[in-house]
Amino acid sequence: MIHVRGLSKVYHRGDPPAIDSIDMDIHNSEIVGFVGLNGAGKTTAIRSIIGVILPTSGTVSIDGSDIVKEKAAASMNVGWVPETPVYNHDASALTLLKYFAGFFGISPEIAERRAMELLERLSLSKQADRRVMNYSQGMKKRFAIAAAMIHEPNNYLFDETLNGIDAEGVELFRTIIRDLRKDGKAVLLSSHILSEIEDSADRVIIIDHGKIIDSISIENLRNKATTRVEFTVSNIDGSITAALRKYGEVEIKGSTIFVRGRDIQASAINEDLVKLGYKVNAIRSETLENYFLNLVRDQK
Amino acid sequence: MKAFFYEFLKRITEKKVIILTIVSTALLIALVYSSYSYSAPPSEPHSGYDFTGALFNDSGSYYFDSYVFNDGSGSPVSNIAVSLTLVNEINQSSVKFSHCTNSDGFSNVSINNVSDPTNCCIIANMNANNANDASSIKPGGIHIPATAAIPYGQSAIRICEFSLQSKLAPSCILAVSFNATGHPSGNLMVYYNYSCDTAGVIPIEKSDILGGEFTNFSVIKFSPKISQQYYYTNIIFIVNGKQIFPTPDYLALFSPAGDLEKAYESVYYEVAFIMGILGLSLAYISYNKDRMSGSYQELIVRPSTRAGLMTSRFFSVSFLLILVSSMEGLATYLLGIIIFSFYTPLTFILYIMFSSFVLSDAIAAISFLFGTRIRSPAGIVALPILLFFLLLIIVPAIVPEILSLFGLYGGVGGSETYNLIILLVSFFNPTSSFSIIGSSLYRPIMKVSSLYVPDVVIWISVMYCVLWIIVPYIGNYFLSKNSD
Repeated sequence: MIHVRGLSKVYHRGDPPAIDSIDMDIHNSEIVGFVGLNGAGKTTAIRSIIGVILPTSGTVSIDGSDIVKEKAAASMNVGWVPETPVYNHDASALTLLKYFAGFFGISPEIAERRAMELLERLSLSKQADRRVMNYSQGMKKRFAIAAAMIHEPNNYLFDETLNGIDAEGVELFRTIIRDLRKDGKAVLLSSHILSEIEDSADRVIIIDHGKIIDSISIENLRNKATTRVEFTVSNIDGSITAALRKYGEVEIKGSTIFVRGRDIQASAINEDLVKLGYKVNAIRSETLENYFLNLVRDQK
Repeated sequence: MKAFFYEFLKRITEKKVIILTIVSTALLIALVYSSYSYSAPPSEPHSGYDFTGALFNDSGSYYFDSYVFNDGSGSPVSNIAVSLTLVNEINQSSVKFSHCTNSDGFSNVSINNVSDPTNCCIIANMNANNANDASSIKPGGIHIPATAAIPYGQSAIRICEFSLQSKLAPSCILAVSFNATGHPSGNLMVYYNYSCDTAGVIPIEKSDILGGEFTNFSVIKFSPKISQQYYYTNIIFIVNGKQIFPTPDYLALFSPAGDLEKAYESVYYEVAFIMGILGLSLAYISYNKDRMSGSYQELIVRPSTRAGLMTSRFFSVSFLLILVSSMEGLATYLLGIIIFSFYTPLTFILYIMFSSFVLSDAIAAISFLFGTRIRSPAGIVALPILLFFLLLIIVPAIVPEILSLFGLYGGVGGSETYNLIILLVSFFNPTSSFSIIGSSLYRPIMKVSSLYVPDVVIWISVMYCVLWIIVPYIGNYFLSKNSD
């Protein structure tokens, strides 16, 4: 379990805080999405929680150990996948994983077995003897997942992990974090796209300008969030509003019709419009992102 | 603590680090070897035949026993005629006698009719029996007054140097024992002893056996162990419990300690340069590179602290630098034996080891500081190198120039103020460990000051050099604790 209270970080004196009095809890058997626009403070918060940067104020407790005062004990129970993994160590993937494992007192034999299992799972076993510094960015990301899991910690922090990995990797990653939840681990998963984590997260924490602006369960989020579908129709007329009102709020701007409602399906509206003889040129649908963006806009 | 030792071991067993350590050690040994070889060019192994001898008096009958040897190897030379001329210095009359050396290099010439021993002397010379030997025979002979003849029944030991391989030290001593022919006096137990007393007053406190028993006409070759750091080492010989030929026949051996120091000084800048670069390189490979590239963050998330990680890496660098400095010291000691037949004083070896280590580790400690505080790759690489060159080359070159502007000069007859300023500047320069320790041990720079107290100055110098390591390390310890 990760327990964060009043976490703030000011990089340079006089600058506004990158994160400001953040409070959050990530419970065991829970996947928490950590969402914010670029520069919102997600990475700073995660790096402060993991101990890579020192917080200006506030506390981070990992399974009861303070990340600053009891650094070694706290680090025993947390794994981290950075947004941009850097591995300039002149060593193969297998050697590097064994090296990392050594910090946790894992014997070389067990470390090698675990490392090979993880590399196999992350489709890197054929590259086990290749130097990590020569890996592609996507492969480095997969390796970083293995490095975070080598000591089997209870808590995980994934920073924009889905960025830069292929579709197969995304699917694999989602399976991994669901398995982690099943095993009772606490997982924080950051992203700047809410829909990216919608399928996996149990709860979402939204951050903007270094402050937590909402913490909401996915279920509540789905209830609160309206879907907005946008159609571009060439032969628009006055009766179209009445035809679409059953789906929700309708707004017409030139040749564009906006339909805003809960649980509406763009395909169903499109079907109706075609049946009524309208020529639909383009469809654009926005769902959870709307909620997220509106929330952020409201803050401004 | 577990993470500390784990990291420490990982660092010192890293392939790059091992290669760097081996290459640096090899370079240092090559440097010391070249400086020693330059100081002690090998001489020709053989330049000619030499001889030694003893004149005996058996109740008016005189014998001259001689030994002819190859002065490149000490081996006996046979079939060389040893000719004697008995000269009466009053009436200038002379009588000649001659005898060839046997296969053992010995000859025995009987000299009859010495009617006036007080005014007679013997002049011995070598003569070749063939053209090949003629070119090898060294000119000069032995001149002995008849009154200096050794009484019959006593033994004589003559000590010669041969195989002068080095201009700094004789490599071998030849001890030749004579007895008057046909009158053996029993075996002789011969010991030798060293003394540093140039006045020739030699206390016999400890003796080493020379290597066996002498019998009639015996030769023993040995390499003296010169282990004192004085310019002269005397060797005396004790035969059957009695010191023989106290003066002037003791052998004054030239100790190369001072010359070793000069030889080492000739490569001081190169050694300092290599050790400094080694310190910078190890600091970069072990710490700064990871700080610069971002790999450090992958380590700091492991169960170790910032200060702990920095400390384990700094200690591993220090350990390797101690190893390299020790190898350098050991090589210097062994090269002293191999090239000079000289057992380099421990103080000198410790001076080399300590100065090399302190210089490189101080540079590494400062470099670690840059690694902790500076983020830019250019700064983290270039600044420590620039600082090192500034301290090693620019500062020592500029300070005397500045002092000369104020009319202060060093060297022979230089001012005390100049020496003291140079010394003070050295104390503020971590690359000055050689000059600080060397000055307090060997050079008179500090002795010009009335404040000079040898032991105090040496220990202050040592502690001051160590501070150049400790202060940056402690500073870095606290900085790294509070740096991202």
